Amino acid sequence: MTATGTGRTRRTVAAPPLLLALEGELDIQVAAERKSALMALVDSLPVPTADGPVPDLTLNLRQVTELDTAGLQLLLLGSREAARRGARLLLVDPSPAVTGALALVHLELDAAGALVTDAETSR
Amino acid sequence: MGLDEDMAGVLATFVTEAVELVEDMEQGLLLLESDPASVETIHAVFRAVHTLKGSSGMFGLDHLGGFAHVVESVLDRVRAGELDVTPELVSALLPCSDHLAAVVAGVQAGRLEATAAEVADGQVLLTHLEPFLAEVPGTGTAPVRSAGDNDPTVAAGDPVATDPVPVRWDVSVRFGPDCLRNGMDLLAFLHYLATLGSLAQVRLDTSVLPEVDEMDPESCYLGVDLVLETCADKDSIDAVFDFVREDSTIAIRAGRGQLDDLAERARAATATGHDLGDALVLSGALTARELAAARLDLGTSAPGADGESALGDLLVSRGLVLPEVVHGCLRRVGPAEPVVATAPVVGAHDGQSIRVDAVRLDKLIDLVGELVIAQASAGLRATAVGDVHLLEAHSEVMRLVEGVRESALSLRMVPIGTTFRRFERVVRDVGADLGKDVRLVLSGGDAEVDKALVDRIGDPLMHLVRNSLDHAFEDPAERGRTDKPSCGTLRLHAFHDSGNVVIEVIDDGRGLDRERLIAKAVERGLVEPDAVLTDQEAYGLIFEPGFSTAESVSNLSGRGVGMDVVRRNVAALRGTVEIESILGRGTTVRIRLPLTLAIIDGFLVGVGDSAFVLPLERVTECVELRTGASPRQCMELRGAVLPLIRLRDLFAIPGQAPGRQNVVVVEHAGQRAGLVVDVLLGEFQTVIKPLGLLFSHLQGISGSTILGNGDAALILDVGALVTRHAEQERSRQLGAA
Repeated sequence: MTATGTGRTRRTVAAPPLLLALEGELDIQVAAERKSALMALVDSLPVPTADGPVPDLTLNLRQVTELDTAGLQLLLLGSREAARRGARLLLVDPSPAVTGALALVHLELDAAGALVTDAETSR
Repeated sequence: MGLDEDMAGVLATFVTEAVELVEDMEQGLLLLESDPASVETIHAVFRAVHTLKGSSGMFGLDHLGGFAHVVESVLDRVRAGELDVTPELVSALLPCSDHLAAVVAGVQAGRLEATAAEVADGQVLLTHLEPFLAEVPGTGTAPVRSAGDNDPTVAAGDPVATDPVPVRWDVSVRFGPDCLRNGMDLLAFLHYLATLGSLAQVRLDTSVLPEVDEMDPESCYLGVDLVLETCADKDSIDAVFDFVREDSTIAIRAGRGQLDDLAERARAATATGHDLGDALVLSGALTARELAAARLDLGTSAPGADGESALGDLLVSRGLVLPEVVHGCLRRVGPAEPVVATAPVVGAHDGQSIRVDAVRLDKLIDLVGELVIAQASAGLRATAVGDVHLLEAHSEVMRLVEGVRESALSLRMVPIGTTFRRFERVVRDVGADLGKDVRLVLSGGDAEVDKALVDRIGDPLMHLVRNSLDHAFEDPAERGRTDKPSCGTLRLHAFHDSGNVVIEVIDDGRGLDRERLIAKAVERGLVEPDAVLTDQEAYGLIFEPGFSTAESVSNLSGRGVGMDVVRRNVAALRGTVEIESILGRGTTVRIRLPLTLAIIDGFLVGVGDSAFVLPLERVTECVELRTGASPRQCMELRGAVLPLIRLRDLFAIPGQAPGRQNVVVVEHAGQRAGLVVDVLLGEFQTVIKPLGLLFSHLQGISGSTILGNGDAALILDVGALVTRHAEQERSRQLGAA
């Protein structure tokens, strides 16, 4: 049993890590590899059961040096896929490259680190 | 610089565009010199520089972008009416366009950063621009607009340019799927847009993001709708997307909040006689490109009120303009209509042409060439078999191949006008250097010639133009003593003449002094003292290597080099040069070139086992050489003497001449000659294969070709043959005398 920042409790017995740390560029050059990695992460989600809540996925972005449109697209894809399975994709510890790109397209992260999508934001 | 291939490709596109932009800039500046009040031209120049700056920024070419930025700032002041277009300003800006061209050339060569020399050059030029950059009016030497010369057209100007209040634009961007792969990053574009103003709202559209399995991580599925608050005009915003326009859907339109302003401006423009489209462009609601595209799609149908409303409907349905703006205009447009002839829309050709890689085009021409040969081969077989239906089918194929050939060749045809316009600058600069007032008049610029020819005729023309400026035109003082206007006129004129394109360089200068040319030639031992020369021969002397009658050598010409290069270059293009001149009135240099270098209509003849191709347009008629005719080197043809050239002797072809020989009468530059051959094999359309380097010194042969049966045939250079024969005859006669 481990406690996460949100105070939720997860079963860890035989469960895959549910966590991925990306390093270096997150751009078109490596988009294909990153896509597989990200989808593997999403696939590691346990099948939702009636009783327990689905755990969140954590994507650590501290070591990301560059984020382009292809990379951003992957983050959006990951978030959507996670949401379809009732989970959230939390982007934690985003590097300046990530925050810069998100700010440019007026995308925000909520307190936990999930992308706030489909909301028009005004500056 | 480790450029990967994709990047290199994108960069190549950039360079192509940039070269055009710099050319536009130069053209515009030259136009401004003659018409300083032209608002349209000022805008065109500004746009060119602005776009160049924008795209260099996108490619991280800061040295280029930085320089362009300063130039843009100066132009911006002109556009805003703070600065007048003066000859000084144009003279300061023209070298800047040269500098930009040089830097772009550097980028093309793979230098992504400025060289020390470029930096130094740039600094010098920027220093010259400084007076025009003065921020505070009156501090610099900048010519500040005085109240007296308020030109109404300038004052009315572009309402957007003089408007400091930021406007909100709705910008909708849907990139094509391949944009990312081509190195166009959506985020980079947003980043650049943000430098134009502020991104008040941004909404990502992820609605087309496909299922995981179908999602190609390198394709673009993101769309953006944003509100940009900026002082930049619509053209500037539009220009940001120049590099992705083809594959993407970009819509820019004034936000609802700006409606009243825009409608008011558009109405004002219609009231002054502009039609709907122009009014919308002037008001800033529409870019010239959008208008041109819409007009093109509408076709030329329905001018007047019907056409106007059709145009309005189309623009609204495309989401380019809000209906309110259009309706505001249309109400006013009605009666007060087409007083003003609409100027040709800038960029109207954009929608009508596509850029094609020259290599692909060459490949196509090559294939068509092979097709022509293969088709000729099939024709030979068909004739041999003698099957009527096969022959019929073949003649149909031949007709089609003919059509394909024509249209493939026409793809290579470009108007010669672009080459001509280069000389505006040359005439201006060289004229100023020499203190001569010379006006350049261009005509026939729409005559089309093969692209390869256009590329290669530039240098010879440059020599001719410089030579005229230097030698042909008198000093202003000298002109003043004659009845000629003080301003000299240099004309470049092009026209088509039976399978040729003719380019004339005509000056109204002092003309060639025949006697002096001959005296000089005698002095140099080029001709005998008592020789009788035709006008052509006398004037042709100026093409002799090292021949110059100039008393002084200038840095432009007069050293006697150049004119011989002209003749050689033109000859290399299978062309000829003629000169006409009237002493004291001027000189015309006439260059005659074939329309294309790739394919000729030939006339096939045989001597012994060899086959030769003559360019059909050189052949005037064929006659039989009477049997038993004396072995003289001429024959009588309808009362005139026709010199004969016996190909069998000329090429030392073994074997006995048959009893009946034929004479092909050819003509070149007014001279006729008869080529004696064994058999006439008829017309033959053929692809010219250039001779290898090894044979390039051969005179009288311009290329080779493959016949339908696989044999090779030489293509004869009739001009060289005839000239050479005439020379030999003359020396023989001289020897005999």
